[in-house]
Amino acid sequence: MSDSRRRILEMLAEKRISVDEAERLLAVLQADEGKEQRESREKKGSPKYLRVEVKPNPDNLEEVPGKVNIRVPMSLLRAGMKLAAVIPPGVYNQVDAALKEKGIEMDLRNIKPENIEELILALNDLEIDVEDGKQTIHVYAE
Amino acid sequence: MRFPPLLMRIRISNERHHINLWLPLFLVWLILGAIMLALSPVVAVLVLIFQNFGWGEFLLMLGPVIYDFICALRGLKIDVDRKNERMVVYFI
Repeated sequence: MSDSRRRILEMLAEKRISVDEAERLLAVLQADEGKEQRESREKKGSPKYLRVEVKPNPDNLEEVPGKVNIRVPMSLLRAGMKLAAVIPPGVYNQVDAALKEKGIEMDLRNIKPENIEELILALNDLEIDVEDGKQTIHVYAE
Repeated sequence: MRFPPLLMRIRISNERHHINLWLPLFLVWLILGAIMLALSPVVAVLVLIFQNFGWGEFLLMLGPVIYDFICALRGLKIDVDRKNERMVVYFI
């Protein structure tokens, strides 16, 4: 929890501010934090590659399928998203229905280039580490 | 200006074989480009015909989007290493 957030909650606990005021202050703080995060991502620049690495645990070399190292250019991600633009008209509804069936509420027609850029920029912070004893899976953007 | 990958490297090695291929993709693109150029009048006619059914834009956009996708393959690298076997696919 940030200092500012803690201070607001302390002020609320001490009844120096009302619940409404605290809510307003927290909303302003949240907006500021979001802006800071966006600025920090923009400073870092857009990542160029998405990396997926699967490494076996040194103690379990016999059981694990092997070592995998995949480097996917972000431009491929952009191009893949653009493919949605050429889905034939009648197929959109089928795709939407299939996505909904899987629990994904998303309309492909609403995805715009700026959304893709924002998504790729946000991938800067992505880092997934999965370790299950046999192998380690590491997904990150660089 | 973006260009499609010029070369594709395929490396497969195991106990018995060791294959290291450098495929000149630029030759494929040249042939495909010539075919696309020859077919462009047919595509134009198809776009006009299918415009009324709502498929015109789809046909028109298909070429540029596929070109964009092929260009984006540049830099893609897949490396799988398993005991004594290794496979690498790399678009350059």
